[in-house]
Amino acid sequence: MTEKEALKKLKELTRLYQNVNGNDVKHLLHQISTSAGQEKAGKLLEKIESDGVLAKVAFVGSHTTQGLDNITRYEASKRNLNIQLFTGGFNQWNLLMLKPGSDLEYFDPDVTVCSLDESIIYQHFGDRGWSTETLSYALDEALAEIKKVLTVYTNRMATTIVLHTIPMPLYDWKAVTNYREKQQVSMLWRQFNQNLLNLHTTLESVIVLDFEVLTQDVRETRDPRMKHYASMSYTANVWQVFSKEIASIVASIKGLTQKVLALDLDHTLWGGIIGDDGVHGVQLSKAFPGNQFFAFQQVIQRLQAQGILLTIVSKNDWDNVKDIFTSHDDMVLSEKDFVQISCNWRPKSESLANMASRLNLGRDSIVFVDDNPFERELVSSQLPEVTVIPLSQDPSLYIHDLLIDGYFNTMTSTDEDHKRLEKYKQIAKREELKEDSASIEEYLLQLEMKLDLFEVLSAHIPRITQLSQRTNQFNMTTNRLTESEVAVISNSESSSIYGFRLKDKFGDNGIVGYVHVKKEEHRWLIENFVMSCRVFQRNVESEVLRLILENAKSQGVSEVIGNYQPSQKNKLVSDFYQNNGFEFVDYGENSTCWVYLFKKEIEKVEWIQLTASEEGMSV
Amino acid sequence: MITSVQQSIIEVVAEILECEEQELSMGYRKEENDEWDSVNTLRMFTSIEAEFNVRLSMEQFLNVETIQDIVSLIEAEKHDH
Repeated sequence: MTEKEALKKLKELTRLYQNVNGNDVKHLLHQISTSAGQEKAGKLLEKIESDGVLAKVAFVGSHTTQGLDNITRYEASKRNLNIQLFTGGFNQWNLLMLKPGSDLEYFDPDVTVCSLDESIIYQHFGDRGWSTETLSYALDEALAEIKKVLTVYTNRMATTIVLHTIPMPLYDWKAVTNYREKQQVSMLWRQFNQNLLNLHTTLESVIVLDFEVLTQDVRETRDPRMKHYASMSYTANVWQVFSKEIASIVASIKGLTQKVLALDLDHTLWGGIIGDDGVHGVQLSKAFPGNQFFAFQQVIQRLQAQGILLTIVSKNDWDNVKDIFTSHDDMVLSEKDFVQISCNWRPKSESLANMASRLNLGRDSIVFVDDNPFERELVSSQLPEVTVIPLSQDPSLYIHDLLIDGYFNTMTSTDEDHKRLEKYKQIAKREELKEDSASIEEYLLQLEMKLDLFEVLSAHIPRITQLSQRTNQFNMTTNRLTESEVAVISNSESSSIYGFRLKDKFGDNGIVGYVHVKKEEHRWLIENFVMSCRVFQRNVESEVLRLILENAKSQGVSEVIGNYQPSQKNKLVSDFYQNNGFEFVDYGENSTCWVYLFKKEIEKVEWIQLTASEEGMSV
Repeated sequence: MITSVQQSIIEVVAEILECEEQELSMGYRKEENDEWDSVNTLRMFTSIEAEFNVRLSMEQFLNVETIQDIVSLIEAEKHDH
């Protein structure tokens, strides 16, 4: 969905006035990325009834702060906050804060945002022209005024005050023509900002944001046309980055800070799939591309050191995973850093729900990080309280994605934060359970999965070979095929390879598996059945098997044989034939053999639709 | 026949003035709507610059009297490049 479409949908929601699903709104908000779009969204959100936590935020300033209020509402809505806004008039900051009984006092904000610009410094120049001495004097005067106003205001009001450092205007620096003086001017100005950053030591309820750090990736922080026409010192792009911090501060005051970081493993903590690539085959190292994952883990470790609880929620066999913690040199995180580990094949929404109840934590304290949109959508639809971070495709952006919204920010850190890990570890124990859930079936139905089974043609050979070579977990016999073998088999009369592809509402997953069948007159033998882990837990395999069996029946076959040959990594599928209507025959050489005699009808998987193949012959 | 530039401008203006697109036409004048004040003029200016990825003259924009005037400003800017 584009930003424009999301805004249009949001506008439609404002016209409904009732039954607006908060999760639908949040989903739309995440599609909006420009400052102009976010400002529009913030304006529309005013008309949507929110069941979020109520918070009052006031904006005052020495210049026009137009737009900051609406962008803040946008960010706050993403954090389940229902914001009431107060915006003070142009250059009213000191009057509003000083005067008892002002509109600001009457509004009684939880947070007061005070945006100041260079005008509060330059007003003290009076008739004197520019000189370094005058600047020095004016900076001192400005600081004294800020201190005075804030002291009066904080004595009267129980509110958190947010300020930011004031950047020195580029052209005031350029207008100084000698470099010795330029350095003096820069130093004085920085000294002033340092003093602002130090205000919290005497005025506890003051938070000063670092303008230069926060806006370093902002394309345009000032627009001279807006400055001259409307006294706007900073652009909406600046408000965009500040509003995230303001929302974090409000969330923290209202107790909505997240405490748990639930992490996927494959493609998240390392590149590749550990079940297929092995402990030393995954991307995780000090060189590109593994260093992207290494750096991501380092950041996660820093969060953990500040009291954020880490958990693993991965679809994997623990036996395949556990060695990476001990035998991989570049694995930053260790097993003991996690309070809880869920490595199983249950839906992640269930694992997260169980984890929350076992740790006795609210679901709203969890941030879930997964590279796979399928898993993310599952969790946000089943557990709307959980914060789901939409990880970029590019792992170099993972750190940005995790940190940009400041979900874990608090006012101060306490000893308690650092002890939290041990406390929760005592509560939690790793569990590997298998449960079914009715709600999951509903969810799968909503995915609109479309399966296409086809006989393999030459165009499919590379992908089929790749699946054969790389897939370890869903691989019944681990009988690997080369390209030429695939070509020979697919041209043969007595055997076939059926490929299958799966589409769902998130897009086309491409060819995700194949079935290799040897055909005799009345008997088919399934030589191998291979499927990518990308589509596990959707019963695709059952539906494919059912189609194969139907096809066999229509060709007069009376029995279908399947083998399971255990490897180190395919424990997952040891019960596959048994669970799908096959009967046990005997133990072969390192294998078990199963037969289907067409006695039991196999049920269609209701949430998977079938499509006719575009390229291959439909079975 | 309405051009895509005209359609986009009408969408932006309707959104900012909080009215229906059907109420607007190319000849629609600033003084027909009290909402079209200096603050909303500024919001139109920034929205339109972002939407069309152009840089407009603030002075010219402030002198706009009809929706057609806005369209002309954008078209002139587009032809310059």
